Amino acid sequence: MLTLGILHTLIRADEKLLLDAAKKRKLNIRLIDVRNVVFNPLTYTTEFDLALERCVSTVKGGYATKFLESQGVKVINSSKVASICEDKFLTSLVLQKNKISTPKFALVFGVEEARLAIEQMGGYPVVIKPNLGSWGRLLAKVNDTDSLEALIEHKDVLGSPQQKSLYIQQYIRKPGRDIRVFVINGKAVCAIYRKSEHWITNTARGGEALNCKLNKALRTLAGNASNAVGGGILALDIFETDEGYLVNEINHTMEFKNSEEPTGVNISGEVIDYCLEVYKNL
Amino acid sequence: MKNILAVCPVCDATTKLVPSTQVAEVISCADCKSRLVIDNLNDNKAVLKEAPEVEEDWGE
Ligand SMILES: Nc1ncnc2c1ncn2[C@@H]1O[C@H](COP(=O)(O)OP(=O)(O)OP(=O)(O)O)[C@@H](O)[C@H]1O
Ligand SMILES: [Zn+2]
Repeated sequence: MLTLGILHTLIRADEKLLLDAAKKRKLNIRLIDVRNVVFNPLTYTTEFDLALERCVSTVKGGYATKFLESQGVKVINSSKVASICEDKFLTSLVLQKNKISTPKFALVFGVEEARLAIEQMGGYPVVIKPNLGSWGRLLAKVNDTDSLEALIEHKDVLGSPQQKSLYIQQYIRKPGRDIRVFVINGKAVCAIYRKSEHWITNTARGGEALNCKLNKALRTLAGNASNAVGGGILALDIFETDEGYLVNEINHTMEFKNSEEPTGVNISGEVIDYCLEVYKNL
Repeated sequence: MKNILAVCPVCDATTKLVPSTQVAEVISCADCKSRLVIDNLNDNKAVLKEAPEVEEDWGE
């Protein structure tokens, strides 16, 4: 039977659901708090067959994944997938290259360049986001040049080096919600609407999760986007527009605790079943 | 199985934890709602500490 290593930092309700699903399927689990591990190839011994990366810290999860891969251990998601999805600019580039509709975007380092980029993408409003980051944190909707200048000055003075790369996206007018599709191995398993009065709809910020029926277009989009970034276990964030769906970004250590109930889909079970399937084909 | 007992480091209330509790798990205090983490666990006793502040690279 499979011994699955779950790489983690803090254990969220999502990880508890995964533990339950694993228990039901009678597979062995090793909980590995990566904060307590010495990643030294000369001393490290692997005590599991396959790893599932579930770290809240993207940086720690990324290093643990790369280390284990260097030791010949398969990790879900792979470092290749993670390194694209953790970075919004890289994700946009991959989507664009694979002809998957995505909002207009650019990366710049300065005010002048930001102004130019915004002109090129059709003007204000735009959204400026940290390249790396999540839960709707530090997102700014910028409506004019005055706020653009203020925002960039603040980032320059107060921000980490990461915050000084400015990822700019055209602001998309949404119908009070966006869509999140859960995709495993290229297949859409279910989707939710994240509904909110605020343009930031993250459930971590009070957005409501409602079931979204999958249709053919969403399924196709899920398959294509998953292919583009390298497959695995993903959550696609999608905007609905008059011109069709736009993929905003792709999450590689998705949170799903609020989505099992509205969708009626046992997402944690699907994740563990996928791990079992990967193990069988190792 | 017995419930695990733990004391909230913020409000001193005693909380009962379910048997499936894990070290590093995030919980909230039933009394003061503080976000807490299981720091240590043995038999039917757990040590709690306040959950760390969210960091720049945290998320999905
Ligand atoms: N260009 C945009 N136009 C309109 N709304 C946007 C835009 N970009 C992001 N949003 C909204 O802001 C929220 C967070 O967006 P995004 O997913 O890009 O950030 P995140 O911090 O990585 O969140 P997540 O935890 O979902 O990964 C979502 O509710 C999304 O609908
Ligand atoms: Zn308390």
